[in-house]
Amino acid sequence: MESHLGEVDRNRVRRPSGLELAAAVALGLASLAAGPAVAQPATSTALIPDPWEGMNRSFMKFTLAVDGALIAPPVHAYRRYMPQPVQTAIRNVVYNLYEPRTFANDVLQLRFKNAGVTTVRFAANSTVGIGGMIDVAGKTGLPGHDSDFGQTLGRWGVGTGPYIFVPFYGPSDLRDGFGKLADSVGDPVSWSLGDITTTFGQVRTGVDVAQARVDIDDTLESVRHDTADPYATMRSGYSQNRAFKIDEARGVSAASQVNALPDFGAEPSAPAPAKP
Amino acid sequence: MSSRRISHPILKAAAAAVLALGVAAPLNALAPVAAMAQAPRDMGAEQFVQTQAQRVISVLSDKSQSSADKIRAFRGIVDEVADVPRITSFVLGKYARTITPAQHDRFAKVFRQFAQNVYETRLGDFHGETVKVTGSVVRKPGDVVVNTTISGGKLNQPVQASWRVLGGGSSWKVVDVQVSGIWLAITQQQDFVSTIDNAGGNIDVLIAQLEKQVQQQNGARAK
Repeated sequence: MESHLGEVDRNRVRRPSGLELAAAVALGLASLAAGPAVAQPATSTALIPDPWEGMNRSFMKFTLAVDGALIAPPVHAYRRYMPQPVQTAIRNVVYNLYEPRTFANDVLQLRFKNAGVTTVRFAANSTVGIGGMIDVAGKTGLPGHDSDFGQTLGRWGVGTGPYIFVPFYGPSDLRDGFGKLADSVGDPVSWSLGDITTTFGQVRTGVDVAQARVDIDDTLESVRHDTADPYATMRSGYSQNRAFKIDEARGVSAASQVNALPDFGAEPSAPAPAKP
Repeated sequence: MSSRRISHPILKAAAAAVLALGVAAPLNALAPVAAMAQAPRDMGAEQFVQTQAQRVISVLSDKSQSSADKIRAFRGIVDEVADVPRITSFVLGKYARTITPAQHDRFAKVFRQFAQNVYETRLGDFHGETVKVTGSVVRKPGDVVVNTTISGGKLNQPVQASWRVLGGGSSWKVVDVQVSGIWLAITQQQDFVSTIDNAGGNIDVLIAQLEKQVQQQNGARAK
């Protein structure tokens, strides 16, 4: 997932810092000029349009079959037998290295308070937290959050495009899939510590992928066993979660989000036809 | 990072701690200002959620109870606190209008068993967490979303959960719960409606499938 596009010329590593700074300043000024936030309507809670449902369903079926046979068993063994503190430390290191990416998206979303939290978390956890193994910032009342480029695009009004189930990756949509690639290409950690062409980048990518699978294990088990239609359930959960995260980034009030809910007793709207 | 800096780990730790505390405090202080909402709240609904959500967690966290006791207690509370008939209709979506009374009876029975099996496997996941109501939004009178933060127990980070309650005064029933933006009843509805849609609108197909799944779940639990 993180691979190919990570191959950026290493000489360019210096360049973005100036650009990023300029962007941050410009965005900061823009936000000051924009004045107080206007009440925004909530993002639709409808399903992401799914014109490729047939293909998506077969991708998911295939992915779940292979996962169940080959991937789930070692994941369950890891969760069961690896000592909990070790699991936590590995997860923390992985998440700590996402913080610079989160910071970049926080800034692009003009969420400067979040960017500050992310900065403090990264500084504290990378040092006092021994390379990110201990989430000291979280323990002192600064819990982490993630921001991604799909969310940033959504915050600036880019629609989801069609829903896609990416084999061996999971649910996404055109916008979020593009966002994921952009996050990988622009990742400050791979630029400064080594991209996929380096041993560091390769090990990191492997651990990231494994950790992501471990983290969705409960959800995946529940989708497998506790639903009538696993595909429809996953698409529903993904659609709602992304709409929620984009509303958060847009600063949509809790009241607007609640007002956008369907009446209890009325059915939620059907997926809208895909925009070309 | 130069090796000289690393040779002073205590200084570094102290600097980071000052940074963490010094920057964190003002950042946290900003939070309540942003959270001050002008939308109408419903104190009766908030009180209901505070009391009942905490009660459920306390019962489930009680180490002196066997899991059979917990399941019994939980079933009693669910009927008292949640509007099961209303949820049962809601999860059928548009098909709630076309279902026959005989189908409805079969569906209501199997849906209850299905939901019990799904939730009761997780009753052991609670370890004395604390529920704190942080506010509420009145969608319209008698339809309120109450926001809570659940923390403590074995949670690494506090979890935000929202409860949709219908009712009035001091008499309320939960109909839906949201975590990470995902509403359980809405998701369940999209699951079931999709299943019926794919069966050409035949509700019996969903009922038969749930009956089969309940059997499998019971088999798995008996192991």
